[in-house]
Amino acid sequence: MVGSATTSREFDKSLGSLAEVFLFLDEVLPHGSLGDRGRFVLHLAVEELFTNMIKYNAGASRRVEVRIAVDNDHVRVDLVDPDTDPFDPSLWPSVDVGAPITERRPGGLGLHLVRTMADGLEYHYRDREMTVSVTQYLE
Amino acid sequence: MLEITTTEDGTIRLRGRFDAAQVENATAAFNGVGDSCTVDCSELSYISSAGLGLLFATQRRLIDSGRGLRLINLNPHIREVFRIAGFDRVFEIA
Repeated sequence: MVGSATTSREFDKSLGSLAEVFLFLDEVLPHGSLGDRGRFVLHLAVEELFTNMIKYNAGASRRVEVRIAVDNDHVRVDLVDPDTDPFDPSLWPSVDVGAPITERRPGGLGLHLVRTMADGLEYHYRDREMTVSVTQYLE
Repeated sequence: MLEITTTEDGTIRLRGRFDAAQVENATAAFNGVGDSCTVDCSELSYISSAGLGLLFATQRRLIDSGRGLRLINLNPHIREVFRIAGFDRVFEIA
């Protein structure tokens, strides 16, 4: 493959859309070269970022655009909220995963997983449009 | 979709995907867990932080009374998620 091919689809900003989002990922993500782990990580990352958009920006726009760009050596998935307040996942506080269970809180775990497992995570915000991009290299 | 069944010996079997859309239904099942038990994940293909959160809440409630969940047959990706989350210290994982 030379260059990248991008496929895009919009989804209602609700938990009820998750199954459709996963189906879209399965339709577009490359089979084989991404590997089982890469596919798992992208499903996880997209779910965590999508549900964050529901939780923290629910009152603004009602749709989220998911763009998948397949390149020679990597896949990038962009989640675009066209009208929202800023929410930079890289600034979210880290989670103390070594704390005793009695002191642990489950919040923030999703972004911790994404930041640790994905090969890349980027954030852009301009004119109320927020784009969070996750990258996974092909095997 | 996530299916939760309980076998005759009390083992909870998870089948499918434990994502955020499944938590509402799964909460009722896990709220009914009042004693130590084994959770068989051999047919669980995926879990996100939403699923982890419900398992964590259940574990924390059980530990308060000296009980706990024991997780078995995690696939390699789910095992990695538990390790990165630090949940390999929260649960007994076999």
